[in-house]
Amino acid sequence: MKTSVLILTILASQVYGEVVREADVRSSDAATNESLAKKYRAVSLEDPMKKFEATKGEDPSVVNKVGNLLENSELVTFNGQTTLVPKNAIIKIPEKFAGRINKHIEGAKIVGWLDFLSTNRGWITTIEVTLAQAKGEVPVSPDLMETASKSGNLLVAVLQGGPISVIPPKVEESPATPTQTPQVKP
Amino acid sequence: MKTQTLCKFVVSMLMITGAQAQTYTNFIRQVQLPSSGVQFDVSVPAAGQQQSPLEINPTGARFELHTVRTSPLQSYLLDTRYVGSYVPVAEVLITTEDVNSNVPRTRADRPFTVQITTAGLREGPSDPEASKSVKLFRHTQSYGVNGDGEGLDRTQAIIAAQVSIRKNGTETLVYALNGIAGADRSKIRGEERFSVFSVADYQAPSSQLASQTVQIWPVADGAISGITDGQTIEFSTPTITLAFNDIYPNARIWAQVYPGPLRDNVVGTMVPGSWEALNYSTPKNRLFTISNWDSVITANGPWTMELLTSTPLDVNPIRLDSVPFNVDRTITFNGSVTTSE
Repeated sequence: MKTSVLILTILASQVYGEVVREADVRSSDAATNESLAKKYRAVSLEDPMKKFEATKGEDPSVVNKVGNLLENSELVTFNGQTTLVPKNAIIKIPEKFAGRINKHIEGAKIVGWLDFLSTNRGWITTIEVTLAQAKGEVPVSPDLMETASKSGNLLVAVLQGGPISVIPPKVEESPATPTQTPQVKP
Repeated sequence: MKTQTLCKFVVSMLMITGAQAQTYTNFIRQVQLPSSGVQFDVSVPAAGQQQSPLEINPTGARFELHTVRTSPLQSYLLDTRYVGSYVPVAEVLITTEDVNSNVPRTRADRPFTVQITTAGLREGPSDPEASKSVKLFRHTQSYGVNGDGEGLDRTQAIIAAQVSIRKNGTETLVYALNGIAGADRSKIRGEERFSVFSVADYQAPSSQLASQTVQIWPVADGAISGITDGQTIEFSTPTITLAFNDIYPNARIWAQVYPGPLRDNVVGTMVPGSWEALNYSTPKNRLFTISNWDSVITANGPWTMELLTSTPLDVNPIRLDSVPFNVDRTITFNGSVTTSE
């Protein structure tokens, strides 16, 4: 029998991949620098703030920059925890606790004041002060200071439970006048 | 008698919740003005509100919201507000098309809206000057090439505009595009800050009343390599490389193929191994090398491969690159059959 010619057609795999989008979605090209530069030139002329009166002056966010919290705080660290209180809120540091002040151990968990105090009441005593005392307008009661100091604990000034810095009252010029300022930590 | 005014403030720290929430602790400091050195710590939970026991009259107080990272130890200033008896109150609200983020953010080609609300502004001839107006600032700052804003020195931000507001009410500012400096407008990455400051007087310097920042991230780009325009695939599919650059936060990326020439509105078949959903707050790059994608080629003829991304900003996917190619897997067999006795 005469030789016959066979033509075989093989189609590729019929396995479909996963369809990841809904049927009604549409795609478009990403914005380019050229198109955005053209649009930018147009919208730059339409400053929405033009409706207000323009002013000049220094940048208050630079001139009156708010200080760094860590630089304005004392760090109290113990038993894997550290808390922050405002500078000058610690009014007495007994020698035996000096190693717990501003000696943050890397990895110690930072916690809020109330959380820290609740587990460290054994060696921390709080002294409730008024705003006038905090401002240094009125001295902290010497009797209160003396009583608190006898405990041998770390003394922290608080106002309604929150640590507050205490500014020492201005010292009278007369050397004979006894000072009633709280003992600020060395 | 001095009037005692208590300041009620709200702390919203949603931006630092999430995967790393356990490593941050929030602190609020109340600083009495004019600066006397008195600082008061107001312990607060991650979200909530409470009253400050400290009076703010007559000279006012500044409230500072900080967060402290445990390791390595670092503090970040998140917000500040100056509150006083005659100091106006302001709010800044920035909205974008990206509703998935607690920190306002958008892309270099998308608009954003700024809403400024002021209250307590006075007009009386005897009213203090600081009660009659506030200043609105617009700062812009680039993060630099591949920058993400980490450790940014915001004192280096550029004042794009500063204006005076003298009327109470709400003003809406619509920005079609960001104003951050950059040669390639599609690759802008940086931030714009809108803040309202009080007018300085004898009691306090010009202090922040409200502020909000919007982050601007670049437009993604991509490239398909390993297959060239018009290339004909006769046997197995070639190894291809898919490069995605500057993928927008929380975007999805993938490649798809479909029969026919390049056109819009086509739902194709995903190239296996090309899909990823990114859950990051900053842009990322991805590189896929795919060698076996024969399964998605279902017929001979012209085909198109597209590189796509879907973001919270776009209703439809954005095409980053495309390549047309042909498939010809017709095997022609020439032979003869003979028989013999």
